[in-house]
Amino acid sequence: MTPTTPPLLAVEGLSVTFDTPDGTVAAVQNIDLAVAPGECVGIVGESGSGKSQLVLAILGLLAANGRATGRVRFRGTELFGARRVQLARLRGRALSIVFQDPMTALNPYLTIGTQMTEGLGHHLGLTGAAARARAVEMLARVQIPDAAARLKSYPHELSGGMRQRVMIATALLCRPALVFADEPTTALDVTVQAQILALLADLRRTDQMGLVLITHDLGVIAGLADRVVVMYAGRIVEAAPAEALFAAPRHPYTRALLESLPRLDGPADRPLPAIPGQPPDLRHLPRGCAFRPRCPLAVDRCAAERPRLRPAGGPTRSTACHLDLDLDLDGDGGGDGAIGSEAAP
Amino acid sequence: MTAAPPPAAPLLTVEDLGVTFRVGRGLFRRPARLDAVAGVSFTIAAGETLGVVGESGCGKSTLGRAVLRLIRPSRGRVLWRGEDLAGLDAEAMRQRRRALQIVFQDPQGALDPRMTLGATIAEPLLTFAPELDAPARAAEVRAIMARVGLAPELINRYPHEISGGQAQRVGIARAIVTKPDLVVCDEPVSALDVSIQAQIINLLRDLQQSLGLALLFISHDLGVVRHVSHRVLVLYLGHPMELAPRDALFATPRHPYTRALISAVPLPDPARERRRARVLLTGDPPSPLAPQSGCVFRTRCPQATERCAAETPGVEEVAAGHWVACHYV
Repeated sequence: MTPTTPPLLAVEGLSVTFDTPDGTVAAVQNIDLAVAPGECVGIVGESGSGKSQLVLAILGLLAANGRATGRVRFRGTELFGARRVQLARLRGRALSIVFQDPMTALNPYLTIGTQMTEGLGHHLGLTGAAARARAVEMLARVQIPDAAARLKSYPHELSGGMRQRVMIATALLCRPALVFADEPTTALDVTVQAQILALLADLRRTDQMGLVLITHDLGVIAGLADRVVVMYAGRIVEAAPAEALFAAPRHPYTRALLESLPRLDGPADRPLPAIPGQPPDLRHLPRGCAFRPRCPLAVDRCAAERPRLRPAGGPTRSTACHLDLDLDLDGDGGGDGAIGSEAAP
Repeated sequence: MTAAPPPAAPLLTVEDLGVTFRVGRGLFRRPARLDAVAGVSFTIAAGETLGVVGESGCGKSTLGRAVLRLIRPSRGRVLWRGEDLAGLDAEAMRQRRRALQIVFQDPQGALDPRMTLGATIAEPLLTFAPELDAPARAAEVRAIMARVGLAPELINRYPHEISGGQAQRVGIARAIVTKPDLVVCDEPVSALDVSIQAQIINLLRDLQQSLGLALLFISHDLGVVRHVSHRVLVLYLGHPMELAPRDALFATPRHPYTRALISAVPLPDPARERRRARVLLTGDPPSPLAPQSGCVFRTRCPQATERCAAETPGVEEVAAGHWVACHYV
């Protein structure tokens, strides 16, 4: 994470469009992103923010009607324009992904063992007993009890928490340098989520594994991420080190999102400062700033001109807002009042 | 909304409620019994919100449906204003449903795609207020739409034309149009975006206060439950673990499961989140089809002893209004 560490992943100017019956929709626009070895970058956003499509585009897994432009380099190798064979060799080995829904991502007709060892043979040439031993070792690491016996199980024989741990173990089998986890714990109960998050944190430390964590849950981000990227309507609206972002968010959307959470450690007897309006419709984005219709601080300029992502509050932070929220944050929550005004749906 | 429940005679009394499903009925297999809800008792006063929390499979949705008699309980009683609902015939029960309504989790799925939003909201009035003519019904629908924050021009729209947040406002409007006394809210904000959740939570709190509604608020999200409830019931595998006033439950949880549940919720605060000591539970909840002896939580409980396997703990009152099912509190 020091400037001298070359990034594992460097994304520059990544955009994604989809051809739909309603015309071309821009789902992701002009994203820059870097991940260092051992670093966890959290990507936060609501539905339509483009966070999942961003990851699928990086891995070359977009739907047939999707187009990605920009540059994506993994350890210096350009991924866009790489031959399919070359990409396939990277995916599953050095680059891995954990999907949200383990029920649909696992093949119901194959045993856990078959699914886990398939990639080992393909990528590492490990087969038979050696492959099974590696699978058992990884299942034990994700705390699957009686791992050897579990290789013979089918996905439906496992609980949701176990299936998700199998997904994670499978993603980690080839000791990838970088893992993308798209809502890896959203389908899980909180007590199981806590186990999975502890495991991911442990793997980062021991294996220097890079992690891109995509979630809508700011609590999950707070526990794991070194840096946080907040997306809204396909663009980055704020990027900052995690502690700084949570302590002093610079973008009105980030602030409003944090304020609106029904958190366990906040006051419970007042109405939540809700964000008015609806999440953006990518087919009908307003002129200027996409958050303007919901922003309590919007001024005339916000309708006329889309704010660019610019450095704000030090070299490690940037925000896409015409206003400088710095001053508001010096008070004892005086600035919060402005954002926290009552919801007007 | 204060932490103390309004002192009033209970609107709803649930006594030792149990719901058993028969599953896996095969040609050569005997059907297994699954106790989805077992031994749950509570009361709800007029204008009070009882939150029900628990993880998937804990029986919280089944409980909500059993209270409304959408599922027939296999054991126990549900008393509405002192009257046993089980003793009512179909017509008498139908009349009680004016006062007992429900809001579902999936707001789009709960709406008929071929009905306009206005017709959807008006439908319960055809049953429960047949004396209203069409103009009076329309006026009532407009008033309710304004009350839940739906723009009047949406009255002739269809469900696919609105967002999830708006659809949930329609679901709420439909539930309160009959002027009910109790609304069961089954995960009403779980399918919504974070920014929309707060809007709907505020709306429910506001309606409750202004209309004096009682809510049975079911959710897996402890933060949400804390923001709407006067009292909270914690369920695990269908069994009650703890029932307490909200502040007591979150400040001084007594049951080991409640403590683990609260400590597992990630806080949106990196400094605190990374320093936190967690009660990490190991493993997953056991299958409800293979019930264990004794306490249902003992297989994951960090404090379990031999006594927990031998003896099922009763639900005991450990402080005023604070009930716990554990041998060691």
